[in-house]
Amino acid sequence: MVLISKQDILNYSKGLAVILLILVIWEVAALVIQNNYILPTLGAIFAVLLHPFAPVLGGESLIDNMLVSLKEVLLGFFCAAAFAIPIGLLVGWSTEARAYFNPVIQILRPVPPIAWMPFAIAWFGIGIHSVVFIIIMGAFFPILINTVDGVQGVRRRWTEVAMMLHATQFEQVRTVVVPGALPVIWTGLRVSFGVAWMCVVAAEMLPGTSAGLGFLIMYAYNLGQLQVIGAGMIIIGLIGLCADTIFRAGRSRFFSWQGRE
Amino acid sequence: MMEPVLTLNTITKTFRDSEQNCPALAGVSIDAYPREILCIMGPSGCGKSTLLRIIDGLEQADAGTIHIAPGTMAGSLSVAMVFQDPALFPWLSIYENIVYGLRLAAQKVPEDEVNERATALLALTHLDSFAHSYPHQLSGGMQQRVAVARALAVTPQVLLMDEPFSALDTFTRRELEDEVIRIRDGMKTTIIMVTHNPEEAVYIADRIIIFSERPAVVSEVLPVDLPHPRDPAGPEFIRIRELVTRRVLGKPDP
Amino acid sequence: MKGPKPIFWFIIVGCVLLILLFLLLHFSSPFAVQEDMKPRVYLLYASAGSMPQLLNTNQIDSFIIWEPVVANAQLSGIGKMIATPADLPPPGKWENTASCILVLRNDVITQYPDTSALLSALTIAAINRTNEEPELAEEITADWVFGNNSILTPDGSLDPSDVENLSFSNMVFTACANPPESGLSTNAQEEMVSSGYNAVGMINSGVALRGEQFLNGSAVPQVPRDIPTLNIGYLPSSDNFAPLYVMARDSPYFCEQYGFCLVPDDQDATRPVQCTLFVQGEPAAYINLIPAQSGGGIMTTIGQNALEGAYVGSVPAELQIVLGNPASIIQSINTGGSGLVVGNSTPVGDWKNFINWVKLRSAKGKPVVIATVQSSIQENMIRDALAYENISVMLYGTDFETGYP
Repeated sequence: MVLISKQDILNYSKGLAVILLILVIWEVAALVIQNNYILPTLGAIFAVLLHPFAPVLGGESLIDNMLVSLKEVLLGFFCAAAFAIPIGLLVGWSTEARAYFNPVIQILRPVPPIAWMPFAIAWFGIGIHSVVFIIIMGAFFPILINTVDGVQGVRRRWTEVAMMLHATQFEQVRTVVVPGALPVIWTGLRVSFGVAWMCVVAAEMLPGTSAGLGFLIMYAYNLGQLQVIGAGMIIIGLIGLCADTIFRAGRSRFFSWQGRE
Repeated sequence: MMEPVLTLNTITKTFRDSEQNCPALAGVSIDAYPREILCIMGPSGCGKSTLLRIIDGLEQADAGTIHIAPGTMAGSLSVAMVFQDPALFPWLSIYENIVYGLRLAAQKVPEDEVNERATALLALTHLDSFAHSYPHQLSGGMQQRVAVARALAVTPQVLLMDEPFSALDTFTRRELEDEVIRIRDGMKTTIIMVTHNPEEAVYIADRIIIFSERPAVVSEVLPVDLPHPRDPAGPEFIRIRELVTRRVLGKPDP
Repeated sequence: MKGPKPIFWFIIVGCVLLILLFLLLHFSSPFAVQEDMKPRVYLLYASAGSMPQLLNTNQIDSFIIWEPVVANAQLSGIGKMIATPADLPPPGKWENTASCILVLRNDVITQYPDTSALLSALTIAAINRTNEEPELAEEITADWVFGNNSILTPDGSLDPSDVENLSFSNMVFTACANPPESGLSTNAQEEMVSSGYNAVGMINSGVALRGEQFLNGSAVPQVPRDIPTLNIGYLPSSDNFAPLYVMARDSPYFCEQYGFCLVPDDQDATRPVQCTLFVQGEPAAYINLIPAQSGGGIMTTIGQNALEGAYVGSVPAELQIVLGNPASIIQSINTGGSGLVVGNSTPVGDWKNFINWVKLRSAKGKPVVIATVQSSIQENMIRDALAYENISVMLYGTDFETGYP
């Protein structure tokens, strides 16, 4: 349950003020430049945003495209988490596993998801699978690294308490390591979702996509309709904001103890 | 003469790292009797903590034997330990922290009994109203009480305490020392405490065991025959306290 | 463990659910089978370069694209061309309509009328030169589009000149073709814009007329005092712009013949970028030939004032001009120059067979997948043709049916 206090409203207003300022500057610039190909007016952008269920550029609606992208991102994100968390727990807990896996992790980690695009098509063919693959490659490493860090950051003393009370190795992992590492893992999930959401626009430029916000942006670019691109960017930003808020709420609800232990 | 509940025989431990050997214990032998409060004192860094960890199974001795009389109750550990920092699990409530050990497979305690024990311990440590609070909401002293309750939940025969109150202020420490005595009286546990505070040792101990410099052996065992409650300002108390201090520092008697 | 238990389980359940969902997606085809059916095809947007590979790996059933991608695919053994634009219905629509055109932004035409006309004149001259010396044109084009190396194919390699030979047989270079009545543009006009759509009305014929005057010597170009730098876009993967390549690489001929020519700054470059427009030996304009990836992108860049004009497909240009892009069509460059390709083992030999095959596949619940470049003339051609045959066009991977006039 999130209580909104006067202080919260005040803080939100400050953020809102900056946003409004940017919008005013944008509109003034757009009116001065008078070129929809360079800077679409806010009016044009909002005309698209305020009709989210109407077909855009003769295709699907803004909402439909958004749902397609969201589906791809959620799929990729949860798949990445399903693999990264167990592997991270293993690598964090066991020095042996770390010795085996760390080098390959450190080599693959810096590779940008976009670099995987040619392989995505080659291995998964055209369609949603290749898009989801790109998203998985983007989402995987933040979760993995944070899980490893989280496990290694679990206070030795806690595991000693568990050992002292005769917990088995598995019980130690289940009752101490995982809950102890969870706040850091949560941060990893939050960062990873942000990366995944960013990847979706690039991933949808793969051949074979016919829907999604990234596709819509490319489509609009080919038709010179930059106001649609602007609307798409705003939607992307808003969803990122929503997701982040959810993660932060989760943090304060479940991990308020972090940093005070 | 009662049978000792814990017998340590020539416990030896050397820490080996790549550069050098660091002998910590060179043959320590101690007997602990039921319902006894033993305080272990000695110069800093001479293996006192190591000894407790060996008794508890967190470290292995290089040589020597430990004999513990078997526990009598189901869901009972022979030995439990309270560390210098409370190390409560911050994601669990106070109640959950206390019963943590009872829920592990090694203990196999039925759920209704878990509740019984928890309630009793909360009462014993005066923490009833905090059962559903979280560790970060409690002061250091109260957290340490919870740590004690957590260790006691598994009804150990021997409770080990490694400088449990050294991080607390004098007043809290005094309260908790009284609680240790109460616990020994109420639960009939044997308590072995490492401390650096002579006054604390004399206040609660039945016997004070003094370690030598590293590599440590037992250099002396001082009985404290004062009746409880002990008065720290009393002359006999002060005499014994000064004696202990001299022994620990290796100073001669005047 | 009451605190984190809910999220812990949420994460696990979420993971399991979505892995199941993923697997489900993998095994279910994106095509839903319905009974009411108008026959349907799936349209898929891809880049020119990826299409032969997609066909080769059976991920698509056919593609429609510009030359020389078509010729290359044929000679590589990847597919066979079964229809040229002239074969596509509505009957006769594409036979003499412009595939690629020269486009200039209106303010450039106003500010530099003679420079614009010069460009037009050179283009017409280059078209004539291409028609008179096809072998020279093929050689220049092979070099420009493919570079000096042989082309790698799945089975071996190809000589670019063979590809160009085949490709040129599918193109007619002319400056006189009218831009098509584009279905995509009509669609856009009805949905997005209130002003009328008239393809021929997009032509600024004054420029070409003046260009003709330069060519026949009845007028002399005025060199502007401020020598402009013009960025002109084009698609380097396409043979349709052969006259442009000839114009740049055969400059001595034009200098001698007409007194004005486009000379690359780097004579040895196979794909020159920086060039100078000379009139009687004096620089009259600096022209940068800017390679790009898509016609739509080129038009947007013109609108952004980063390109002054382009050699581009007629349909992408019309689409954007109808939506307000401040540019005009100067003249056509060619007609034809595209092809519809299917796999070698497909039992189809011409457009009629193709449609029968489409209907058959649709009835079986496995509609044909056709790839094309988004907002290109090829997309327009295939969608016009399919609409004529009363076949609905769905976007691949969705259940969205594209609307059509």
